[in-house]
Amino acid sequence: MSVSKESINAIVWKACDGFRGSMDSSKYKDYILSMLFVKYLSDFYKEKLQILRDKYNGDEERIKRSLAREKFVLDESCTFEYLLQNKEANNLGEIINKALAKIEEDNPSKLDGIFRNVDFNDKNLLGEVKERNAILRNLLEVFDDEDLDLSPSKISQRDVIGDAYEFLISEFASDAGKKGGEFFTPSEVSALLAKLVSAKEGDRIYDPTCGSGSLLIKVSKEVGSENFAIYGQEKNSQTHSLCRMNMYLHEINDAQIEWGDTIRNPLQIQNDALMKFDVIVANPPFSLDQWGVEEAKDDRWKRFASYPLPPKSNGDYAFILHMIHSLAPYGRMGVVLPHGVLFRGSNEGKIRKQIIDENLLDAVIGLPANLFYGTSIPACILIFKKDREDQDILFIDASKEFQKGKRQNKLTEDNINKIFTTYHQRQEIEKYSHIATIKEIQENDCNLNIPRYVDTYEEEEEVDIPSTLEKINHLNEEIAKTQKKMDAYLKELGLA
Amino acid sequence: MRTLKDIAHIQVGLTLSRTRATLTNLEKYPYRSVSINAFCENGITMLQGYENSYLASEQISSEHLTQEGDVLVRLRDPIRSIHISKAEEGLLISSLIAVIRPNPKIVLGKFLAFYLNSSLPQAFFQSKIKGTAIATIKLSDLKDLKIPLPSIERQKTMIEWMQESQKQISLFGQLIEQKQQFQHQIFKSLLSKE
Repeated sequence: MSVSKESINAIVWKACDGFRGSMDSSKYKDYILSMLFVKYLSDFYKEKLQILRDKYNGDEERIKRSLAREKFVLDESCTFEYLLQNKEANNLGEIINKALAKIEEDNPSKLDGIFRNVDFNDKNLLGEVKERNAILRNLLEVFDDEDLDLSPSKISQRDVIGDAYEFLISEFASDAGKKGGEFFTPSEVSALLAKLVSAKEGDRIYDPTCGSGSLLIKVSKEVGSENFAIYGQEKNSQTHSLCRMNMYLHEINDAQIEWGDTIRNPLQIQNDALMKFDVIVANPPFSLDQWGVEEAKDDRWKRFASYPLPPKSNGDYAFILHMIHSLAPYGRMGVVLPHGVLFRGSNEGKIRKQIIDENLLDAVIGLPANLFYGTSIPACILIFKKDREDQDILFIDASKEFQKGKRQNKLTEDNINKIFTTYHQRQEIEKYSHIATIKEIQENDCNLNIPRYVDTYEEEEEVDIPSTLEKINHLNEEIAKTQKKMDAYLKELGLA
Repeated sequence: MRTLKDIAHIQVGLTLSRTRATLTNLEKYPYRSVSINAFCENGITMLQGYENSYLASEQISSEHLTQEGDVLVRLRDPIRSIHISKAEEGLLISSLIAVIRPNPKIVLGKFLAFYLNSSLPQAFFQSKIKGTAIATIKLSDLKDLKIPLPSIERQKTMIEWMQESQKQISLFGQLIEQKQQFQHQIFKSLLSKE
């Protein structure tokens, strides 16, 4: 029987219980997710080994040769089973660390540095030997569940593990509040953005602030085949490792995920120029302070040279300009941003005007408030295209259509489809969307604030004055009657 | 002044989890239970639409079902009381609620409910509350509450006055709403003439 998403989620979530209380969730997720990845590698290897044993009738030499050509090389001393056999060892943390180091060493081109953020022997985080061993033993035991069989044949849909992985990341993100939420785009927003940019076969897809990679994965799923190339860059080394594991778990084995600051040090380079992409998506940190204005002044890639410089304390346009610069001549890009980018003045206003004059902006989509983990502010999606023929911009106000949730609001499938259809067919829908001509936008001083273009004002019901007056009179009479009765009762009670 | 336990029968409701029907129960007995959200902030009337359905594994004794004249007390903070009318009979009372069955020769149910919601007993309850996350009072605290007892005739008149006063407050609420609409519309009409 194939492994279900729910049972994986439940087991992984159970693993968290062993850590709760001893450390912050933003820390223990590394342990759990790394172990999940080891389990995946292990089950993958185990199944391959079995297949080869059957195929070659136990000819160890041929099996060994075949295994060496597999996607991952895994020594017996790195398997989950080996770790489990050693669960009672006094130096368990050390044993796990050694196994992880050997996995990296044996797969230098693929897994180099992937476990660099996790130390299973960390006294400061996991406590003294006895305590540390107990936590790690519990972790191994929880993962030693027959429901958690991650062999390729048991995973009916190939994204089950990746989804579980994302489930955890999303659970941690809402758990850790702002701290964790910053690297996670809610899955419905990723799904919407993926539909809007609709990646096609052969596209190069890029996310300059890729976080754990969920957005890239969603976009790649829209392609419908495996003929695409994934590129990403992430500043946080921990999240960068997560992203790489996530890519392998989704069997996107050739993703190029770089580690570094996209603005200060963009790393997707080709022929000594920034690489160009057919599809770019991003959910950059909202209004990033200290994003690197000093470095931007003499940027060697000239990304900011033909525009005014974005303000020091609001990096939103810095990311937009980087993305525009990285966009291929027929490329399209979608970016999630706070509403401020639509109307803020000064240099941001000037950049906005220039982008509109260059006819790069295709659509502005306002999203409901409280969709993101750790922030309640409403966000918007901007769609840019390089080869636009339309001389107008589509505005969609989707802020009122959502499903209310306990912690976060959610976009339903219907909500997503409505936005997508409206965008795709460039429809005008009353109180929902409007196609504004460039002239109309220029008349508004290039202020893109959505209410200026989509009128969602609901006409209030007219109140009939004579009947209201009649109701008031009637109520006054009723009140007088009750007063009379009350006075009589009080008199009877001797208080009046 | 009398103590509540001397003039009424007081008991806590049924622990519903003990008699909840499971898949293995062949026979199931359907009931409607009073929710703790059915206690209103003002007044002594039960709020409608807060009954929950409950499937029991056995027939439940009638002492755990509401009867006309009962006074129900919510044991969780805010400690509120409601009076059960004829139409609200036969509802299951859970262990989060205490039921008081007063002796009608000494104290009337409605009088008791009004009294329990008034400031004196409320101050007493606040001093007895235990727990911070889920603040509750014990049944014994409720039993020990002191109550002044006017004659039955006087209680009846006091109930009449309270009910009439409640009605008046509600009428004032409606009046304010109508006056606001009126003000809004008149101003709009004046503006349209400019």
